[in-house]
Amino acid sequence: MTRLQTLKLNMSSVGTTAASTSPAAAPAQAEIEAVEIPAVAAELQTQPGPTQPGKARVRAGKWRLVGIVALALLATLAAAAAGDALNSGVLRDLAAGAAAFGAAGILAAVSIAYKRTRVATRPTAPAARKRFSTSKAILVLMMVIGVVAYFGGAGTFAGFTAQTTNANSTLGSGSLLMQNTVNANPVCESKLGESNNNVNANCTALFSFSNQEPGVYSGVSTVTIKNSGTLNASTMYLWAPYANGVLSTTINSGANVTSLSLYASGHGPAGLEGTVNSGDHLLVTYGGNSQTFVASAGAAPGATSITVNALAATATFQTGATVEDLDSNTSAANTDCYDTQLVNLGFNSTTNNPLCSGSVLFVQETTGGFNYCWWGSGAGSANGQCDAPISTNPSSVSGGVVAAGSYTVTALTGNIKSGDTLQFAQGANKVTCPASSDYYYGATSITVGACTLVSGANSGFNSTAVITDTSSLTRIGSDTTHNISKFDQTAGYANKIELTPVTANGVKTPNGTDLASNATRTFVVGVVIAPSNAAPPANAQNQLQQLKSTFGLVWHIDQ
Amino acid sequence: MSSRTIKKLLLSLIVVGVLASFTARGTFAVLNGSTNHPGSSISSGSILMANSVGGGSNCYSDLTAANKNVNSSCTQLFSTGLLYPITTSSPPTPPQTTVAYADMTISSAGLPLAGGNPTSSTLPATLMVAMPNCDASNTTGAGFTGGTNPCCPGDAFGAGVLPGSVANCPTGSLDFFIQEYTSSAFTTPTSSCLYPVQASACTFQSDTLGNFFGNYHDTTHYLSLGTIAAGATRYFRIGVAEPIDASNNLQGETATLSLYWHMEQ
Repeated sequence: MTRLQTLKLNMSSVGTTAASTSPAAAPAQAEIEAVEIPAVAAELQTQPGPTQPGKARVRAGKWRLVGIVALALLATLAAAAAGDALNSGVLRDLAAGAAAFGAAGILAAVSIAYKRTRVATRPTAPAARKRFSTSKAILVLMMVIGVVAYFGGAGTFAGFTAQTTNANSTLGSGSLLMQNTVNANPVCESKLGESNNNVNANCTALFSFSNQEPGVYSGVSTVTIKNSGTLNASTMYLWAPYANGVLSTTINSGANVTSLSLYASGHGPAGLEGTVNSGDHLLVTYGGNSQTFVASAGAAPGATSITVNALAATATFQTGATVEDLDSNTSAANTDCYDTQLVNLGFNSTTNNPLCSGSVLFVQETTGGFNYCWWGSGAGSANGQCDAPISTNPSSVSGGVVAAGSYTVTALTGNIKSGDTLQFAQGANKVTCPASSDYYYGATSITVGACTLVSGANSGFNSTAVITDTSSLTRIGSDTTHNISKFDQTAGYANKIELTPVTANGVKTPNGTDLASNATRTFVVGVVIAPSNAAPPANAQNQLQQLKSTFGLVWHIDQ
Repeated sequence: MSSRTIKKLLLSLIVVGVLASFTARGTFAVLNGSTNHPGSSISSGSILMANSVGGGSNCYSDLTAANKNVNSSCTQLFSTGLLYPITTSSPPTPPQTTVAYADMTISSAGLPLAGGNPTSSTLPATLMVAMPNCDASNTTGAGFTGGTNPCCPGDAFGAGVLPGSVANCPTGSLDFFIQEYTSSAFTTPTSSCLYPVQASACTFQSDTLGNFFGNYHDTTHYLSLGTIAAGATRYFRIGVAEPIDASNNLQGETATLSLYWHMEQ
């Protein structure tokens, strides 16, 4: 067997050729033994004597490299066998055997080299030969094993272990669901919305008041909003919808869309609610997907199709998807509220939706007996009253003569402000009296002060007499900012009204949970064609005859 | 921390900020619910009027769109000459030459749609009447003119002269009445007289034209004729006569008058 160049590693670096490799020159070095490694490779050095210093360093480097690779391979095999790097049991056994065989070979080589070194080598070439320290080899081996174990090993090698597991931990989301009830109609659930995103565009219409006349009580509806979810809603909003409709034909993902079909009935708005102008941006939403199309032509209220610039659908939009005109509600001509002619009288044009502009809308909260006027003539008033017309009857009128005192009346469907003029009318007989206090929606008793005969005679009044609040109607006649058209233009999504909690009449809290889980809030919504307070003939509102205003109103809660 | 690391961190923050500026919009709420009330509506009603004289064609308030339900071009009531003082206050049965009659039909209805019947109003209304003008003039060709204003004896002659008040119209005017009838046959008057107001059927009474003109001569001073139901029709006879006690001062004078019929909610 030829003799290999000695492989020597010192503690500070692998492959160094510093002069301190001589034991004499570096006695304090942590060198334990010099070894010679027998080799079987073809490139073994055959010169027994000292070699040239440069060649010796090259050879030493080669053999260091070979030695390190062998050690690494051996360590890898050992780590793989010990750990879970190899899934196959057979492979693990083979790896372990190879590691053991290699280790035995190295031990044998080390042993032989040790003996030969002691006999001949050390004295003859102390400067050129590099001895391999066993302790260094073991340390390098351990280091490599450690590195390999770090990256390739898994599991613990401890013999004794302890372990616990927390299984079945869960994370469940809560819910925000809204129930919307108009008067005694069936509950409308947000979760049942056809657009599949907890938005229900098909709740009961608030009212359908027909054959109305200016300055006369029309009626109101009561809306109850409940958070039927498990989470508190930090915010609750009221806003006017965009011009909108409900998709009646599914749009498949990738389809080339040139028009949007809308349901004519039964799914929310009857066709298009509002007006779409050419170039308007139409947002189609279904589930978590939405896409904006651009109208290529205008569409009139009630239309069941809107043509759009050709565009490939980026998702599938099922029937029931909502379609909203994001460019609507900018003027009286393109609001969600729109007018139609019931009868063409020649002079009752629908241009700019005059009845929408001539009808005052009011939304007053009555939750828990606390009133707050959120929208309408009187909005934000200190007593919480909207100017909401009344039309009620007294249970009786003593002696048929209207006089100061208290009257039991049918429950008010509006408000009376202290000092307002109340008119008792029985045919041509009309008597007015001032209200002695504020009276709210639902009140069944009112007190009036000294009365004045207006026309006819103060006699013959009975339970069919009609009591109205003429002051309220006068205030409504002067209000030009709370008609339906203005509601659409100034209380749309961008300017939505947050319905913060009401803690007393006319008092709302700036912060807090707007609608807690399972909580409800109640609102009275009404509309009246405003009388004109102008003097005749300027007060003529003939152009409002035989028109119908159609509109929507949105309630919304957020987490 | 090296300056290079600090630079990287700052650059990262800038990138995050730029991304946020492009991607963050609207609300950050994740869960929400929403409901909409579409199709809420309010509809207005209508008050329309048709007016016919002597069984003639209807004159509709909504004939001209630009006038917005006001028609000022309906048929004249009468054009009677050669009247002379009546001998009894009881209205004579027409046809008559000694008095002027106009049988009026007032309907709460508008123009027919597509050749059908007149379009009925949908709202009840109060029917009112006024006399916006009664102009006195000397009768053309009369050999003698008495010089008394037959409309309002205290006022001057001429077109457009309105009495400041009824006090301007002392005695001496023509007789005038408004009698309602139960049907278009104009045979059965209602039990009372609308003007001059009395519990029995109308009779010719002195000074009544001056009193009516003095009291009801503009659009804020109407005589109420009571309610007219949506789509209903009412029948009125307008009578004018030389009073029984007419003086010669009414000879050779002409009264040119108009009536406004007005319906109001």
